[in-house]
Amino acid sequence: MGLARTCAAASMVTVAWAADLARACPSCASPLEENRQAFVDTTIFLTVVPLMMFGGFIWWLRRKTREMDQAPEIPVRESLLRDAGPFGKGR
Amino acid sequence: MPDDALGRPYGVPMRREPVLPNGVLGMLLFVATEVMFFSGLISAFVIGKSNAIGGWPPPGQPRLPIEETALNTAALLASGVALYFANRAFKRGDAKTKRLLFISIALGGFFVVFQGAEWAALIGEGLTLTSGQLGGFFYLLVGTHALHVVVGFIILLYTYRKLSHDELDRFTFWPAQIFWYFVVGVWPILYWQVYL
Repeated sequence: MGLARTCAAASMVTVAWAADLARACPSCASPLEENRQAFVDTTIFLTVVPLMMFGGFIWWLRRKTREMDQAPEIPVRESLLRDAGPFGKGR
Repeated sequence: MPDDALGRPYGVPMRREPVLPNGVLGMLLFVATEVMFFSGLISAFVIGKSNAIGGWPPPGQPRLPIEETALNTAALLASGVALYFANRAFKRGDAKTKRLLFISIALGGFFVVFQGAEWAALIGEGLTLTSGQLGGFFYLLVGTHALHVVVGFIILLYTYRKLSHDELDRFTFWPAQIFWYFVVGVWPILYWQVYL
């Protein structure tokens, strides 16, 4: 376990060091402070937006599912369920 | 037919509707990709703007009509509000649905026509797609949004037609609303970034 953690930490340091060597930072070379800040802001923005979208959707789905689990169910005749697919409870 | 202990008829299985209709799920996934697409465009614009030598907007380029577009923004937001109330009326089975949906479509149409007139004036002033960074970004961002407004407008017309024929159901209306709310919601961000 200890060896695995050491390897993981060493890998992270290596990756960070390699990125610096490769100058893989698009804003680091820019002399404009505003430009560097824009890169940081847009990176945060593009990271947060999908997380919020999917997080929000999963939260909403959980809430809706719980609501539906607690709601009283209405019996439906077998003849109406013929093309209903897998949604019929107990089918 | 005899009933069970809960009063339900025997031989009749229970069934419930899916949490999310397929059309709505599909539209949500589509809108999620659109959100990322617009996020990418806006990010590119923000970086381009911050990189501009000599400030933004670049000197020698026409000014964008801020006040007139504010009015147009209000029209598009009002269209979204009208659609929201149309949906509420639709859920109640209210006859006002048709009128509210018409108002929403008319305001959307107004936005498109106004944008067209604005573009014609800007092209006349020399702001084109190739005239510089401002023109390139302006037509890319605002043009992409305008294309979405036109598509949303057509979708709303389709729902209006279905409503007129008494064929509109919530499985059709709901995805149409999601798309229109997206179109309405993204515009103030574009206005803030591009015009202000």
